[in-house]
Amino acid sequence: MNRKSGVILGIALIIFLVISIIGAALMTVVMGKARQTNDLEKRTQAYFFARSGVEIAREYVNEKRKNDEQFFDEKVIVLHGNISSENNGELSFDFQDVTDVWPKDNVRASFEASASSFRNNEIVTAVWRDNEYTNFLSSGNAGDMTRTLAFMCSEGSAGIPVFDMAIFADGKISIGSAQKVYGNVGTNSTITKGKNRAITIRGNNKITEGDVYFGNGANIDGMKAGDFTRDGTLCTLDSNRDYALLLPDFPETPELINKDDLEVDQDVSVNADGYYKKITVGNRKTLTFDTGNAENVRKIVVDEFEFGSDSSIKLSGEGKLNLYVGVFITTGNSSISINKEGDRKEIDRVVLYYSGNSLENVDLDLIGTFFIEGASDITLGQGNNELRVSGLIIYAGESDVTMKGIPETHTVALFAPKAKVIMSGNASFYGAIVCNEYSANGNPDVYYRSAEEIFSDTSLEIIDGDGEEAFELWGE
Amino acid sequence: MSALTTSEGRPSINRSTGFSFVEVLIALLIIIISVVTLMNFLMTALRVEDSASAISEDLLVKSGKLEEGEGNSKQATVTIGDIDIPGVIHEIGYGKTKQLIEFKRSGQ
Repeated sequence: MNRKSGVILGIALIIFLVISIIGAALMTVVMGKARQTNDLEKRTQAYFFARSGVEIAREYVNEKRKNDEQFFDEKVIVLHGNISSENNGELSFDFQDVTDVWPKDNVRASFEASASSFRNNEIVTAVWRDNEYTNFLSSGNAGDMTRTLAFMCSEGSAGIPVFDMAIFADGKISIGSAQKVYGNVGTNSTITKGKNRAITIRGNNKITEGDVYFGNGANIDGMKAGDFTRDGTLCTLDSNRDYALLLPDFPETPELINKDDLEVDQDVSVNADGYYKKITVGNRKTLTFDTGNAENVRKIVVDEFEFGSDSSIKLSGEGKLNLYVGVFITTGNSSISINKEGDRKEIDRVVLYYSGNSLENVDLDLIGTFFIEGASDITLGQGNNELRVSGLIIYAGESDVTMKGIPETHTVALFAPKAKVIMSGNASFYGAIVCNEYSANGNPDVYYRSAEEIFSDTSLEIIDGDGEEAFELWGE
Repeated sequence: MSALTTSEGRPSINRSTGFSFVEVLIALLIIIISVVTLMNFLMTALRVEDSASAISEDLLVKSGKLEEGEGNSKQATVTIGDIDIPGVIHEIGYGKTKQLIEFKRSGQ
């Protein structure tokens, strides 16, 4: 037999084998790549399912907490369902209260341990609260792929608009029968009927050019806008406005270098910060505070501030003045103007802090911000012994703030969320009032002026109505 | 004596040496089948590789777009117990027929 017969078949089979091996290797590589792509697709979709779970759960938490703010404080809730099988936009999710079986301090472990029981759901999200934060663990299941996102947030708050209405009161508002109000009027009160009705307009009077807002949740069905306003609408607030929370703390008196008592019997200029037990400004005399450069805030603390008739305080330089006054001492014809020639927009150029018990008979003309801690006898107007403030008045006390006779106030933002504001006679007010209660007799007028439009941006920062900043933290 | 010479010293051809026609034919057949199959594998592999790469690339682009809220959207409401959560289902296609979906709540 010839030894070479059949060799070519052997070689051919070897070639076949090699080619088969190459082919198989190629297919393995290609199938690996295809599987990788397939996994990537499922991973991506699982990620979007997990995100959707967080979206759904966040809104669920918001809705639940609207009715019961403490709802999630002790609970651990699991939401689960599918979103790819929607029926005309209708999706149905289930929820389980797992508070008793999932310890709140180790939800992650319980969540992972229970993952297999939720495999049939595209979205599984656990929600619980931890101090002021809401925590979410959300899994998305796409095919055999699962992705889990951890999300933590505090929703923050939208803030409260300040000075967006002519008159806003926490409680009752009583509009006079001959009074003119040009602007919106609102209250937190939800009482729409009876003697304690939140907004009462006497006679056949109506509000002009303004809407009327009752408190959030008030039942205004059947009420006619025409009974309250000539051309506006009747509505309810989106949420309660707690302006008392926005009241800034009355500042501590700064520790400054002691100075001798200052008696101004000729025009005097002060160019350094200092603490004075007493400053007396004589009749028609001027005390000038040199405020230095634009970044400087001149700080002056005075226990007793006495002034004669037609006396004045002026500012020089480019800086600001913070004047802390313990008590004003007046005689029969005392009157003082502070920063009378100042820019009416820059109401933070002068901030006058007053910690005395009373403002009775104080005849003061001020362009700036007047922060009154708790004094009584606050009367605004143009008459003698009244406060003529062009700017912002912050009143932290609870006594009445009155405007009577025929005074006409300059543009004022009056922020007195704990006080009752009473207008009478022919008083006219140009600006915005925030108070606890409002009452008017006779025919005083209120003309709304937007503080934000009139004053510079920084001037109103002393009242922070911006709300809390939302916080979000994602992880996987 | 050489296998290529006769007893008389003439050269002769040994017909049993080399490969038979049938052997060559079968070997060629095997090689041709193998090569053709391999070529098919190769073509398929290239096609699959190309398609997988295109899908991966498209998926990455489209998932970025979906995160930004692009794509087709339709109103949807998720009901959980007594709470309705209104929102929108965003869908975006990738590859030839596939799509990604995501739910986003309204009023953010």
